Amino acid sequence: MKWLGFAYKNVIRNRRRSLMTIIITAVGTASILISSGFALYTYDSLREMSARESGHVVIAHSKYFNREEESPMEYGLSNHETLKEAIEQDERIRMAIPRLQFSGLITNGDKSVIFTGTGVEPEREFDVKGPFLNVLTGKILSTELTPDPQVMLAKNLAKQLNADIGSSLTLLTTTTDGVLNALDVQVQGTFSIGVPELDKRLLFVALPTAQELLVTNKVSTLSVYLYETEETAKIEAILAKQYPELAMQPWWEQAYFYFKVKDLYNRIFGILGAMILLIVFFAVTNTLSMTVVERTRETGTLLALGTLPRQIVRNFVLEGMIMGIAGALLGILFAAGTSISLFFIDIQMPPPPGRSETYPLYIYMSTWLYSLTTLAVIILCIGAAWLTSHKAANKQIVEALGHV
Amino acid sequence: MSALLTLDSISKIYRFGQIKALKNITLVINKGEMTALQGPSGSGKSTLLNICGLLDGFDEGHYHFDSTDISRLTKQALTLHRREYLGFVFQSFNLIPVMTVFENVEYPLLLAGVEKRRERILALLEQVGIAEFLNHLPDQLSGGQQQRVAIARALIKKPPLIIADEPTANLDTQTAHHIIDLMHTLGRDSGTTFLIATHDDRMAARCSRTLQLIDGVLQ
Repeated sequence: MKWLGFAYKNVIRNRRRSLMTIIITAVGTASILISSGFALYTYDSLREMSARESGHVVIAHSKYFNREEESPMEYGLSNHETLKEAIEQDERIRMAIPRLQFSGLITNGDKSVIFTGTGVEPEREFDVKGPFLNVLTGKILSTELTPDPQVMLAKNLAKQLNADIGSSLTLLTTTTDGVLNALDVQVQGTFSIGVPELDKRLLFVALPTAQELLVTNKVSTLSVYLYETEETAKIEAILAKQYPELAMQPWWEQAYFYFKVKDLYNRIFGILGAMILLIVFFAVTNTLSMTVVERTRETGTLLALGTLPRQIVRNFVLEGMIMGIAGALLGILFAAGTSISLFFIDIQMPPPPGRSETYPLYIYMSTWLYSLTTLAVIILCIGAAWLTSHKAANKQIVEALGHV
Repeated sequence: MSALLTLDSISKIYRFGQIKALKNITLVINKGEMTALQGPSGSGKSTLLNICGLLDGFDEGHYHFDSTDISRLTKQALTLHRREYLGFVFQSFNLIPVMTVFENVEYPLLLAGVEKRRERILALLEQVGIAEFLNHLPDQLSGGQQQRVAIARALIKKPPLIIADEPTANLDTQTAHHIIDLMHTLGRDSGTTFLIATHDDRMAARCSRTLQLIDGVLQ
C-alpha cells in the first residue's frame, strides 16, 4: 500500500498533465466501448432479424435444400400437421410454422407483375416476425375462410399494381401438376420488410389459399421458432436425430447478410479499436516519458539509497496503472451513460445500404466487452510505463544524480 | 581501530576523454572516523566519493568494504550493499518531493523491510531537531531543515558509513555551522564513519582527519 500511495502522490504531482492523460485514456476507452457496443447491437439485431425471417431451424424434405424441384412442391412436406404438433411438445420450442413458397404473375387486369409469394398461418407469422415485418396499411390476413381469398402486398408491389385495400387482383401460377391456375384475391393490407427490391416482389396469402392455388396439401417448409436463439444448435441436433428422414437448416445457414455485416464491422471496429489503443499508448508513453526525464535525478537518489531498478520500474508501472484505471473507469462511466441515455432519447439511424427503414440507435453494454477493454487499456498503460521507465531505472547512478 | 574501507591503487579513467580522474589511490578509512576530503574543483573528490559510495565503478585497483571485495559484487549485490551499509547526504539534499519529512526518513527502512519504524523515526527526527515538521513536504522547509532531513534519512538505518558530498555548500553560514555540529555530534554518538567531501574549512577542522586530493592524486 505504501508503494501505491507513493505512486498516487506522483500521479497527482503534475495534476494537469496527469488529468490530460487520464482524459485521453477515458476518451479512448469510451470510444472503443461505444463503437463496439454499437457493433454488438447491430449483430444482435441482424441475428434476431435473420432468425425471425427464416425461423431458428427450418425443417424440409431431405432434398429441398440441395436439389431444384422439377415441378412445384415436388420436395414439399405432406405430413406437416402431425410434425408440427409433435415438435411443439418441446417446451423450448415456441412454435412451428408451415410456409408454402410459390411464384408467378399477379395482375390487375391491365398490368402483370412477377411475384414471390408465401402461404402462411397469418397470426403466427406476423407474431414471430414482430418489428421486422411492418404492416403499413389495412389488416393482416384473416385466419378464417372468406368468400374472396385475401392477399397482403409488399408496398412497392402494391404501388406497381395501383392496388389499394379492397382492390381485386388475380394470381397466376403453375400447380403441382404443371397446369396453369389462377385465383382472384382481394387486397387486405400492405407491408414492408425494409428492403426496396424485395418490397417490389413479395406477397402473403393464407396457407389454404396458397394450397388451393397450387392444388396441393403440402407445405414447403416448417419453420421452428425457439424461445432462446442460443439453443438453436442443440435443438437442431435433437430434431435431426428425431427425424433423420428430413433435412434441417439452422438460421445462420441462411443469414448471409448477418455474416457479411459481422465480418465487415469486425474489421472496421477492430482497426478503429487498435488505432484508438495506439493513440492511448502514445499519449501515456509521452506523459510518462516526460515524467521519467523530469525525475531522473530523483531516480538516481532512489537508486543510491538502495532501490533496485525493478523497484523503480514498479513505481512507474503503478503510476501508469493508476492512470489507466482512472481513465478506464471514467471511460466506462461515459460509455455507460451514453448507452443508458439512448434508451430514453430516440435517435434514428439512416437506413443501411439496400434498405429503406431507419432504425433506432442503441449501444449495448456487455460485461465481457467492458472487462476486456478495461483490461486492455490498463495493460497498455502498464506497458507504456514499463517501456519508458525501464531505461531510466538502469541508468548509471552518477549520471542520473548529475541530471539537471 | 579496524579498517572499514580499504582502497588499494584505485584508478578511474573516463573512457571518452581518456582522462585519468583518479590515479593509484591507496587509502584506509577506519571505523568511526570522520574524514574530510578536500581539493579544488575537478580534483576528483566526487569521483572518489562515488567509488567509495558504490555509486560508480573503478578501472584499476582493489576496494574492500569491511571484508567484502567490491569488485566481485554484481550490480544487484552492490545495490543491496548500499542499501544495508551506506547512507548518503547530498549537496542539494535530494529529498523526494512527494514524500513528507516522515516518509523521506522512512524510505530506507521500507527498503530494508524493517517492521517497527515509527518510534525510531520520531526519535531521530527529534534528535536532528525537525520533529515538528513531520508532515511537511520538502518544499515547505528551509535548506537547513531539508539537510537535517537528509541527514536523518542517511542515519535512520544506522549504516557503518555515511558519504556526504558538500553537505553545507547550499546553506548560509549559520545554518552550515549547525549542520556541521549536528553531523559531528551524531557521528560521535553513533560511531558511524563519515566521509565528507567539502570546501568548507570549518567542516574539515571538525573532522578527525583531512585528505587532500589534487589532480586525482592523494597528497
